[in-house]
Amino acid sequence: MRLLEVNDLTVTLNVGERSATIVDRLSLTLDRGRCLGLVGESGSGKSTAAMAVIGLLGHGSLSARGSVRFQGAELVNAHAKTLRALQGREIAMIFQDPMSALNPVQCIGDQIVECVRAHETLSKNKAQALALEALKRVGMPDPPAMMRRYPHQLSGGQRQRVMIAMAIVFKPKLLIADEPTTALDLTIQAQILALLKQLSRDLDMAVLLITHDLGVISDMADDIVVLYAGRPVERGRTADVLDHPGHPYTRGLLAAHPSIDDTTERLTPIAGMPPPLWDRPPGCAFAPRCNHVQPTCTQRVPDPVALDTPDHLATCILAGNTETMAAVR
Amino acid sequence: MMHVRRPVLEVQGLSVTFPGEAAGGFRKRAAPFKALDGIDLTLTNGEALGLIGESGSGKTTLGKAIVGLVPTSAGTITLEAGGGGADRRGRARKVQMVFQDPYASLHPRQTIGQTLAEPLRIHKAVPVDAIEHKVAQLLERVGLMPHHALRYPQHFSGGQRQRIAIARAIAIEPSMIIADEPVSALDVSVQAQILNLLDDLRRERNMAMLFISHDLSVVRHLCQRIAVMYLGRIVEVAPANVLTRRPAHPYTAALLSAVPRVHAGNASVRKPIVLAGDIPSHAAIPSGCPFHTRCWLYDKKGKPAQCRNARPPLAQHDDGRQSACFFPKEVASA
Ligand SMILES: Nc1ncnc2c1ncn2[C@@H]1O[C@H](COP(=O)(O)OP(=O)(O)OP(=O)(O)O)[C@@H](O)[C@H]1O
Ligand SMILES: Nc1ncnc2c1ncn2[C@@H]1O[C@H](COP(=O)(O)OP(=O)(O)OP(=O)(O)O)[C@@H](O)[C@H]1O
Ligand code: SF4
Ligand code: SF4
Ligand SMILES: [Mg+2]
Ligand SMILES: [Mg+2]
Repeated sequence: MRLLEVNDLTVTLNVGERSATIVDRLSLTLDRGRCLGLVGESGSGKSTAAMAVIGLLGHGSLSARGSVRFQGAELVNAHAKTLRALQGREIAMIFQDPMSALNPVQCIGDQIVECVRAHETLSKNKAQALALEALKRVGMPDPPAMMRRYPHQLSGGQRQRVMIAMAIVFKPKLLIADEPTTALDLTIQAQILALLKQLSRDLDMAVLLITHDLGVISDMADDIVVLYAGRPVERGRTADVLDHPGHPYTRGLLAAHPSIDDTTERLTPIAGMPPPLWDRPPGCAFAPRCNHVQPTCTQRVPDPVALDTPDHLATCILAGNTETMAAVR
Repeated sequence: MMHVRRPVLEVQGLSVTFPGEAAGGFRKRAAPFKALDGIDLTLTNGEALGLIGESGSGKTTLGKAIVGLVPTSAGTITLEAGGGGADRRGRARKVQMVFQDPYASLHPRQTIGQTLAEPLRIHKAVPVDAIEHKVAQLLERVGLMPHHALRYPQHFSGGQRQRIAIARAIAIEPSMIIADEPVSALDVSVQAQILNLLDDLRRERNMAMLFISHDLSVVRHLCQRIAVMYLGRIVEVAPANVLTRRPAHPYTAALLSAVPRVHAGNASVRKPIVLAGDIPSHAAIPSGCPFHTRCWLYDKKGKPAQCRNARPPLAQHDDGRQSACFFPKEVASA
């Protein structure tokens, strides 16, 4: 049984008369100890997809369809009690901005203890011991002293370590990390990424890593899903997707991405910009920006097609056709 | 076209001191601190210099000091002679700044046309009846349409707003542009459009550009030289290809190794230098070499006392680079 299996997950936003598909038929699988990278530009639906996976869309204007199976159990439209039992224990989440997730007037120790006791009835001492253990595990210097500090007395990197400590107290099987290093400096980012890798190994924990940074994905993820305008356009093993991208958008992203080792000075941008999600162009959403657009591209949304390996899929009418693919490259 | 290289900017011994922030807790006010300490820097026309360093290292402060937005406490800033005097307005004709946040830097209740006409009018750059035409030209040059002049900033995407901010900066044809993280808020596919635009403008106008960024890859692509800052000081300056291939300061080496690289193939082989600990605060800059508390080379060499006791100057090396480390030759070989 897979740890996480998402099939055709679709999230719709309904505001008055208007309705928009924020996430459109996302499918992915993730096993323990592995890292899956969800990559896409701002507004492509990454965070919304993650919230839907963990069952945190709430009862507002967003609603989910499709299937999310966690250890075989269906989470889409599952009972609130079922979800609460998983959240924070089996599935945990960390966000980009640790400052806004921490209470500025409560010391770190109390916050972790409170969070622990919200999930399990434990004595204060027991909870404190768990908090200390978690802080040690995330490499916090002098954990007992750190327990007494307030968020503003910590650096950005230390705050993110605190958030990770809170997330792993119960040794979750799945950690969803939404842009966990985007707000951090390069050398601190390297520390946090190394920590996430080590925790994934030590705890046999799956990581769903959300980022817009292809470099971070390449460094961390075993598998990748590329989102464009809320739709998965390519998915597969990291090496396959980055070395032989099958979708013109993935190729475009790679060409636009400046590389530190590459000496060609000119970058190749993708013309235009992504469409608003409530007004996608008909057919393939990438068509207005695509250099290889065909008349049929705008007639219907392409289906995913297998490329070099059965697990490497691209949602493009050219995918799978060796002749046209060669022309695209 | 051949251009004679002449200095556009010369910064010597520049320091900026800020009053201490009212720190949380019980202390009322922290002591004043040096956000910049003894900066030397030159820029010639047509040259793009990248300024990199981590958050708080003083990059924005240096940019603002050059355009006269923060007072300096020591040193000199010499901008190229010619057009304009030494006052604020004169300085603006020589150097213009583009900021990171394209949402905050444009006036929400001014049309784009008004925003672009303002510097033209203030500096009397063109006759009044030619302003409209010049605005249209500027918009077209940055990839927008003349009719966009009638719209307000909220009608534009982040990338388009950054184009407008760039148009405003080049309106009065400054000899130098300071771009402070101009693409950090933009997506990769749009980012490349803006980087190429800046590069084209620099070449066609022979402008000098100080490009501030924490993204080494971006700087590598856009700039001929790179300066690395740490805690308010420049620790290394070198031609971009030299610095990225053979760094001569351990901090530069650590930054380079921390750049996440695309392509799974080499990522698994490469082992990043993970620096221990956090960046020290300006209030407690370490003695001797300010980097010694996090320096991997210092550890590797068995913690030499020299690094703790003396501050390495930004010294000139034979291959045209400068580095503030006592052991520059041992960085690349490590
Ligand atoms: N509750 C909501 N109400 C209205 N719009 C929403 C809501 N949640 C998400 N959206 C919209 O859905 C789209 C996708 O948003 P989402 O935050 O998932 O993108 P993202 O890929 O995480 O972007 P970023 O990289 O900027 O974090 C955006 O256009 C956003 O404005
Ligand atoms: N007006 C000010 N008053 C007091 N301190 C300031 C002021 N402006 C900046 N500082 C401080 O000076 C130091 C350098 O700040 P600066 O903004 O120049 O850094 P930076 O390298 O641009 O960082 P970032 O990458 O985060 O933009 C920081 O410690 C900052 O908090
Ligand atoms: S389906 Fe057509 S428009 Fe879409 S990416 Fe493929 S070739 Fe381009
Ligand atoms: S002088 Fe010493 S501490 Fe400073 S960077 Fe060089 S080796 Fe490291
Ligand atoms: Mg998001
Ligand atoms: Mg700055």
